Amino acid sequence: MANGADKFWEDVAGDLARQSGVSPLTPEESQKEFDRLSDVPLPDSEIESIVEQVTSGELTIWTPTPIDEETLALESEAIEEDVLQLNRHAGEGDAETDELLDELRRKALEDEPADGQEDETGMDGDAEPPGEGN
Amino acid sequence: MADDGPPVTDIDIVLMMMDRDEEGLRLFLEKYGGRLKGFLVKYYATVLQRGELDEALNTAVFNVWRFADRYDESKGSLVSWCIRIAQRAAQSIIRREFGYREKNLEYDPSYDPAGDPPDAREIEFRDRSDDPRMKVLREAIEVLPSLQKAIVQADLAAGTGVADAGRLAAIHGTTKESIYVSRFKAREALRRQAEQYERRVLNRRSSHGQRG
Repeated sequence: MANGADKFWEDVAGDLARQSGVSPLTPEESQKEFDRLSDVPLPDSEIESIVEQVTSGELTIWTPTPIDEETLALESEAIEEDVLQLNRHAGEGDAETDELLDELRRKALEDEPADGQEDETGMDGDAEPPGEGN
Repeated sequence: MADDGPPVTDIDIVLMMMDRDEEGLRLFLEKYGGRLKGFLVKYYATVLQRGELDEALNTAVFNVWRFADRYDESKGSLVSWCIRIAQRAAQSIIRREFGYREKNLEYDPSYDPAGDPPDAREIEFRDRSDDPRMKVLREAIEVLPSLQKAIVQADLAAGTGVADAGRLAAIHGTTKESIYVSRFKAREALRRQAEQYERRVLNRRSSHGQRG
């Protein structure tokens, strides 16, 4: 038997999902949705990877991996600090900051995917939608 | 000047896929693959992991390919059918429902790859786009503790039903029981927020009435 909280949820979930754009779409809604999406073609390598998986019928099944929320929070603090350093006033001279900037640039050029999983299909899996093509 | 011939239509692409012509699949991906991926990223990047987004795209394209003969032009364009298949693939991952991958579905003429999950409940949508309570609830979801917020967002994105507790537990490094408890707490917190809001509105109305 559903309790009060579950009953409440059942009453509002459909509308909340609809307002968030994740409720099951009708053909008309999905057409509108498609028209709103920016057309960023898939790279050839990604197309070939999908063709291979689809025609062989052997799809890669992803096993969810734990996210470390504490580490994410710490990383975000560190990023905020770096952003402050990067966005300092252009006229200020600061040897310590310049050193940090050099280090960040070096790291950015050296960065490799940490888990090695995202390149298996050739998809980069950006957290943001494809660019708007400015 | 080279004659490229008439442009390839969606129906040409569907027919090529029905004939299991890989070129048809390539043409489909060149024409629509980017926007299918864009759709999944736009709506599901907060609830699916990077690899799961790849899986949703591959599964969607796999279902477009193997069920191409079920595309019915009279029920909408090819892309609108494909967007619904992509949404269905994302929901299936969130719900951890594996039935859609079964090979024998090809022999079930009633199976609709763009249709609702097998246990979908009929939900009657009311147009509450102007209901201020919905805004209050959306804001309340944003400030829930992170695990509760993730569960609520996943439940909403699961379509009809709930997100799989085992998957959420694996992602958040906890137990299924903890997911159940957090889900209850989140719903209870949202219900309280809505009640508080309704009480404030009633109080405002009654004080306005007394003054009048």
